[in-house]
Amino acid sequence: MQRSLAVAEPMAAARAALPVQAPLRDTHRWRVWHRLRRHRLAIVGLGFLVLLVVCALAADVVSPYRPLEQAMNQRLRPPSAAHLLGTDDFGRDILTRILFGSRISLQVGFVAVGIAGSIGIVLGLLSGYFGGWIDNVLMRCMDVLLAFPAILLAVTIMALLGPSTTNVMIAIGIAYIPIFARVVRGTVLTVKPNEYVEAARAAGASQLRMLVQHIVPGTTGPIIVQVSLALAYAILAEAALSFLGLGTQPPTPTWGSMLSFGRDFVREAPWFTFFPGFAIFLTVLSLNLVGDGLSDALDPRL
Amino acid sequence: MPKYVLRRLVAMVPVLLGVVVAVFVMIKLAPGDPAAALLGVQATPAELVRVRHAMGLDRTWPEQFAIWLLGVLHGDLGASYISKKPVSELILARLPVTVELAVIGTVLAALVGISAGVLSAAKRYTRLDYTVTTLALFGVSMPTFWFGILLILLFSLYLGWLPASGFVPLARDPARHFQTVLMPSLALGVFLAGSLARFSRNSMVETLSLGYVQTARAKGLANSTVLWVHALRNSLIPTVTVLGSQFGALLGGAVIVEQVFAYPGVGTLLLTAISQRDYPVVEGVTLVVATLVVLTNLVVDLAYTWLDPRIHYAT
Repeated sequence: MQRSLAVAEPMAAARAALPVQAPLRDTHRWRVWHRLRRHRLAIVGLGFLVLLVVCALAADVVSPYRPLEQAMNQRLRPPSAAHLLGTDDFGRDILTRILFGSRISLQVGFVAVGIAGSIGIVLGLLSGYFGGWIDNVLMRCMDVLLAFPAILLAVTIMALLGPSTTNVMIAIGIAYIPIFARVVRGTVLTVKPNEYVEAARAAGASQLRMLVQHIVPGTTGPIIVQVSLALAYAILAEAALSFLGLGTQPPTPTWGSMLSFGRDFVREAPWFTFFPGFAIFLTVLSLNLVGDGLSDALDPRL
Repeated sequence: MPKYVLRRLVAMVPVLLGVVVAVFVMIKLAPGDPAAALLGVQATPAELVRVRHAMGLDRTWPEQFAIWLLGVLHGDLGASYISKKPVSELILARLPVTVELAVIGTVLAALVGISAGVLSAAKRYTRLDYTVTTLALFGVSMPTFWFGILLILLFSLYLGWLPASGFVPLARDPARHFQTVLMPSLALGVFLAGSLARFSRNSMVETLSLGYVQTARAKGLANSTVLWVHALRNSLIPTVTVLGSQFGALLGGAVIVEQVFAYPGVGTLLLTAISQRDYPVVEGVTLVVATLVVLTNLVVDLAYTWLDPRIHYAT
């Protein structure tokens, strides 16, 4: 509390000196957005992601062809005006299939991060807030999960569950629980000793109220950063599982499986394997840029 | 020091136990009847009952777990459904190939990543720094399998310098061996190199702003001495954590990279086993890799005590 008061004064003075500034928008969220906006690369990344989501939603409208539309007389055509990114071994338009493939990547990414985040955040909160044996038990469980490399764990879970889009979400979701649990636990441990938390406890706030009203808000920054990074991991993991043939099954286009099938034609049609991989790369790059920007913008030291 | 090592060893036990329990649960969750899988489709019901009894499948779960754990402790991971060979034998035959890949990948990534990060920090806000940070960002955004294919396109198909896939054992032809190892380890290491460069840069920037570094400079020491002798060791501490935690990820990544380069390691063993529903092999690989990861983490923790002598007193 004290800190933000101390900061507010010079900021108010600075604003008074700049009459063009919009009045009374000195909320925390606005300041973060303001800092993020100066991060030009993060904005470029965000722009690409927004475009990607729009294209995924409107794939039926924006795609030049149908994703399963075959044309055997158009096999393995290089990029041209008719097929901007070329065609695959069934004469299907690669751009169209990338646009439709983005749906799987984004769906799996969001749902898997949703699973990992919701479970991991709750575990991290409990662990950090209550400490003691709860913390010990939960963190040893996370250590066990972390002993399995995420991709290996996801591959093994897929082997047990069988390949399907839903199972990919579950497998990746489970694999990334520990990351969230650890980050949230660490943040809770830094928030807990704050005076305002002490004050709330002294005022007789219940455990639940303490957690929800005083601890959780302090953890949102690191969680937001973690979400953008976890999305990047999840999209890479989905592509890897599809590449290995363990993910969403053909003929549904996914970036990973397109890349994998394109490998057989890498000599005569390098675009077939190049562009799906490039789509993964751009998406993950954008998420990393946004993640970097957010972690700077949300850095409490600033 | 010995006390700390002992504490760490003791702390490892529950984690390893958890790993073992987790893999046992996986075994129990695996679809299908192991006895039927072992006998094949022509098995008679009487045979099934006999084999189920011999395998201990008619016992309670805790009993089965105890028997299985005892076997694991003796290096017995069961037998493959397909080849009927002991799983431990199959894994031991493949493990050196994968570990070599992961170690070379780690060493390459550490050399390139850490030195690039340190240089980048020393020449902050120069063109070199921007180049390094951009490349590092590309490194952590690159799907391994795609990077592997790009390497094949460039070095095998376009330049014709390296074989596109396959594996030549070291004993047969050392020169050819390293040719076949190079691209897979590069593909495997690119993510780690990127994250190490990013990490060591940030860590070095922070270290360089500390008082003792200023003092060393003020004493008139050469810039390179300050950088590589005084600052590096301290800035390495958080970097070693990343290195250790990523070694496991590298072993996981090997599963994918081996597919790209048709490489006969544990990853290929695992994926073949998955496609054949050979669950004992799947579980064996998972158990062995997880154990390796736990042991690596132990080594990393011990490396701390060497990098940061304060840890002795802290525990």
